[in-house]
Amino acid sequence: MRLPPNTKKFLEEAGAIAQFTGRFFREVFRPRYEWAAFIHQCYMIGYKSLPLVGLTGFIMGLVLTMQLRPSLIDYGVESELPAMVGIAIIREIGPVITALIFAGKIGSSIGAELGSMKVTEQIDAMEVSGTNPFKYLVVTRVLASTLMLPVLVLLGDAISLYGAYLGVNIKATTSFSLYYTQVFDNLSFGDVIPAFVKSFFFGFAIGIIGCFKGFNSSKGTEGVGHSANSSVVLGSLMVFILDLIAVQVTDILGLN
Amino acid sequence: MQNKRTNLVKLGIFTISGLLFLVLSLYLIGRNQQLFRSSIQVKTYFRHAGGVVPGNNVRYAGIQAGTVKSVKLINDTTIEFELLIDKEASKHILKNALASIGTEGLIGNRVVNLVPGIGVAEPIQEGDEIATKKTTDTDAILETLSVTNQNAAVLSSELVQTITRFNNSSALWTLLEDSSLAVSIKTSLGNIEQASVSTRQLTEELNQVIHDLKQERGLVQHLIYDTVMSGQLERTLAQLEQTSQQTVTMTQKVNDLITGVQNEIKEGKGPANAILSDTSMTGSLHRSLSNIEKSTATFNENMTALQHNFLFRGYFRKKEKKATKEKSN
Amino acid sequence: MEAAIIIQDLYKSFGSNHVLKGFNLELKRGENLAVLGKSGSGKSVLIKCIIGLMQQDEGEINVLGQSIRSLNQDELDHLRVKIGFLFQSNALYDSMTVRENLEFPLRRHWMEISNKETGDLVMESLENVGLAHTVDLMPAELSGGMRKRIALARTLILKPQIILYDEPTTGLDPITSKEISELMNELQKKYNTSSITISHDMNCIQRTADRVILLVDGIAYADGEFDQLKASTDPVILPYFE
Repeated sequence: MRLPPNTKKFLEEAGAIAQFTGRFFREVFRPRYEWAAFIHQCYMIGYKSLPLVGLTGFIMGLVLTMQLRPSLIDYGVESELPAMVGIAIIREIGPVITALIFAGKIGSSIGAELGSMKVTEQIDAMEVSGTNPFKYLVVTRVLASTLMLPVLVLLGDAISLYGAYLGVNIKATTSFSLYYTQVFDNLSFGDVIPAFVKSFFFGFAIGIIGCFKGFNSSKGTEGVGHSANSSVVLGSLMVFILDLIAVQVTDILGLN
Repeated sequence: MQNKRTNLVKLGIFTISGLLFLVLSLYLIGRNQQLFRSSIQVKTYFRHAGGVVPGNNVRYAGIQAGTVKSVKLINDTTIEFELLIDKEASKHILKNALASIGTEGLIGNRVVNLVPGIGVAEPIQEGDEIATKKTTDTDAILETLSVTNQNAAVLSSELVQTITRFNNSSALWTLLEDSSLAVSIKTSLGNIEQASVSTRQLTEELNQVIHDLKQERGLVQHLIYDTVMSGQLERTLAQLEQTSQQTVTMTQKVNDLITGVQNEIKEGKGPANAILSDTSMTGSLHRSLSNIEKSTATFNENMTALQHNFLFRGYFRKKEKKATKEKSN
Repeated sequence: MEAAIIIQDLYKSFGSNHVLKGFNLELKRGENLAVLGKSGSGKSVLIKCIIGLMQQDEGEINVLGQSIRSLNQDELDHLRVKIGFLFQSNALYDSMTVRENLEFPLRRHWMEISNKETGDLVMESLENVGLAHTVDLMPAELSGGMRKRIALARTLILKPQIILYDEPTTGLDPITSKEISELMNELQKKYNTSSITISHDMNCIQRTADRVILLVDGIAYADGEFDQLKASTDPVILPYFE
């Protein structure tokens, strides 16, 4: 069967990513476990991303509140502002914005780091030094980003809600306790759990794509740049695709 | 090594604070959904579920008392609601409480409202059945209101006519010169005053109703649950109409009277000064007239308010359209 | 004395690009062998097959009496302790200090080694290459020649029996190249290693190699001492020595 070159390339890439993911799952359960490297990656990927995620979350909360207010005033339901903002942040804005920022920061850094390691033979050097580079580099990073993104999303949500609280208070006065009562009164498990679960998938996708692009980087500095770039682009795209799937799945499960 | 340890501590704080937020939010949500509180289960049966879904709140006298656990169709006309009532709240809810379906705010979630029944009873127990309250359909209420409105319109135009006639009548002033009729006129005016005061009272009642209407939240619930009240409204308006008719009759009588008086004056009999010097009578005359004017003004205001109330805006618009159509025809 | 490495009939291709087509090689113990060839002639592929970073298509590679192909991952890792590999681009880990770079193979291969022993070995290796003072620097802070020496120190820290040099002098100025070549000789004598050097730097080969193999069109075209080959009149060999 003859395929157009672009389609063929796309399918090849998809196949290679699937194979890479398969290899990840084979390696992740096999000893030996790179605990120290994993913890280090958690620190680098999770903790070090917090300031950026916190800042964007804060601004999103504030801006969202200020943008929603006029429309809500039009409908005469300004008092519903905390509820609306809370639902928007917890369900969608928090996970997706955090994941996009994460894809930008972590996806590119993983792509570039592994890419340059590949280009300068550091990956080969590790293999020669009795280390499985896939375990040492890929498994630790993918696991760290899978586990750290949900934590970042949670903290981002919290900061975002605080930003929204300040936003509510710009033109009206609401006590903090009334604010959080209003926010949490209108939330249900169906809002929190799917958002939390999907952020694991976001983290996994961003990690595995960054590692794939870096691990398969072509020679030369251009190859490194390309890996970094394409891991951000593909990672961000995957976030949206997964989000689409997540909303369908939660709908089917009746959690909406 | 030292550096690595601080990194570990930071990572620990980072992860734990994230998970704490998750646990806290789940707890807060769970608390709202009564998951962590002990509750008892009661049942109630409706003919129409009215959009209530599991998870909706149950309110007792306006206070959060529990949630709806399930909504099941039992047969073609009966829907069974299982309600989870807080143990704390259940102590105060009696077996004769009545359940109805309402709305949180005007466009909010559906709620199941429990209201206290009449008389004394035991507090509800696990598995009890709560009776439901008959509610009136919104369309029916609107229909009644439309009739009421028509009546009110007729009434107000007649009131205006009456007053114009009062104001323009030179005969009235001529009459004032006739002292022999002073007493009977005084009585008549007293009657008019009384009538106008009662008109005003009625208008005020109507005003109250419309004020509730403007409060949006209260209205629908009130009207839905309180057919008595809409009946009252209707009665009020009927009375108002009656009063105005009486006023018309009365004015005619006064007219006749005045014609008589005029004739008498022509014959040169009338000692009008006596009446004019009676200040108390003039005062009461004034009062009655200003009362009448006030009440008409309030009534007009009410009507405008009613027209602007968004619930009835559509209705009035339709009416206007119809009117323009008829006009153009 | 048995041979350190024996390669027989090695075939390796990438798609339609046949790089190695029946290559043969034998490295004796204590011998320094140089493999000479044009860029893209498959020199790097050859030594990557020896260390197991690439799998040959056909043929046999026997290192210290063990067939590379038949080894499982653990056995391969054990064998790799005895083989040092100096990468063309040094392959120092950017994110680690010089000390951590040198510790890395130690910690990875000999898990039971004590911290003090590790520290001593690190310092010994650095002193061998004369860079003991750089121990806490990052690789990015070092010059090209220093990086090459650090890489060499890392290669030698496990005291390998065989060292594979992948273009050890590429990208260095002639003086530094000379220093590196001399260092290679010095360390070869000190630890009595065997080595295969892949290069197209004639000065380096002349200084370090006991024997030279010319890799042309995927086979060992010529085999002999440096001066022997230099004196050859074969039109294929001649251009390499001009």
